[in-house]
Amino acid sequence: MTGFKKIAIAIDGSINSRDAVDAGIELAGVTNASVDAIYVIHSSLTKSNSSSLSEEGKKATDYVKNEGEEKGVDVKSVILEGNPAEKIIEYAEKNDADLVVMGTKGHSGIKRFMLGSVAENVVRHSMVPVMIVQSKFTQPVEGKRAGKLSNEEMREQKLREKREHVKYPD
Amino acid sequence: MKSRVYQKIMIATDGSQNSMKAVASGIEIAKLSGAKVYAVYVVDTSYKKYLADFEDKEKVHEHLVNQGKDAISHVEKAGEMKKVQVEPVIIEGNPAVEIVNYAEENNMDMIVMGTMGVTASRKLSIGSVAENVVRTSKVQVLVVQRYTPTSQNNE
Repeated sequence: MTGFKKIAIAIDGSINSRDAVDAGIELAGVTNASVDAIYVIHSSLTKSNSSSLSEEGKKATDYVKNEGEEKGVDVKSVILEGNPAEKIIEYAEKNDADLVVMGTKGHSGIKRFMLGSVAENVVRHSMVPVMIVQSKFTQPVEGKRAGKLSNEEMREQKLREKREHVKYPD
Repeated sequence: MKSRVYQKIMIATDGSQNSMKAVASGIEIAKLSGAKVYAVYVVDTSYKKYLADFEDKEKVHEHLVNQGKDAISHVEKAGEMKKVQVEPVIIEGNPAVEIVNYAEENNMDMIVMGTMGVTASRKLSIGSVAENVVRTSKVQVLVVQRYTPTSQNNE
């Protein structure tokens, strides 16, 4: 039996995580699993502005909670401090998560080969199965290569690439 | 609960022990979400670069195709047991490239794969095929590792 009882969704405050949240909640709904929403405050940043980061963490995990409520999925907020990849793996393994879901930046062209370093480290070192979700927000226009885009499409494309740093709207 | 999101689930398999957990996870998700499974095996054609002799090439090719058939029939059996529809797919080329292309061209909602057998390093839990798929795929990828606490008990 390979049942999924607990799914850990690892998020950062960026809009990239949203597709991962959608996918993780959907999967939890389907498999009847509970969700732990994990936000890791990077250890090198904790001294400087820890309160604003934990606020961002709360906002990010609250977003998962709301999405979960809509689909009838139980969500627990977890805010950790340290190296994100390490903490995500450690948490998932210690808490018997059956799956880790996380997002990564979607890119086009050469950039397409760049996986976020946190996602890369987690998928490399985790013993727990990992689902990587490419963000739709930063993906190129469907079925077209950058060279063939019209000016307007190009502008849209650039906008999409910039959006990878956009935070959750309030 | 039926899922509107997960309709087509691709299980990429190479028939190795490492893939078996991925097959089980993929079938499980497909069953729960009412999805159809596409069992994909890629005949890795990189051997053509190393073999000059035509007969050797034929033999290797035949061996790999048979391996693919076995790998896929394992998925089909697993699907039968759980009443999940499985579509067999054998393609040729570079495994990572073909897996991503197939998934994107055929609108898969998820790729499920193990850390593929032959090249998966013992120390790092992810193989190069899985890594390249994760890096380049627009479709979400579920990587099922080999060394989990539960599977260690069986070894």
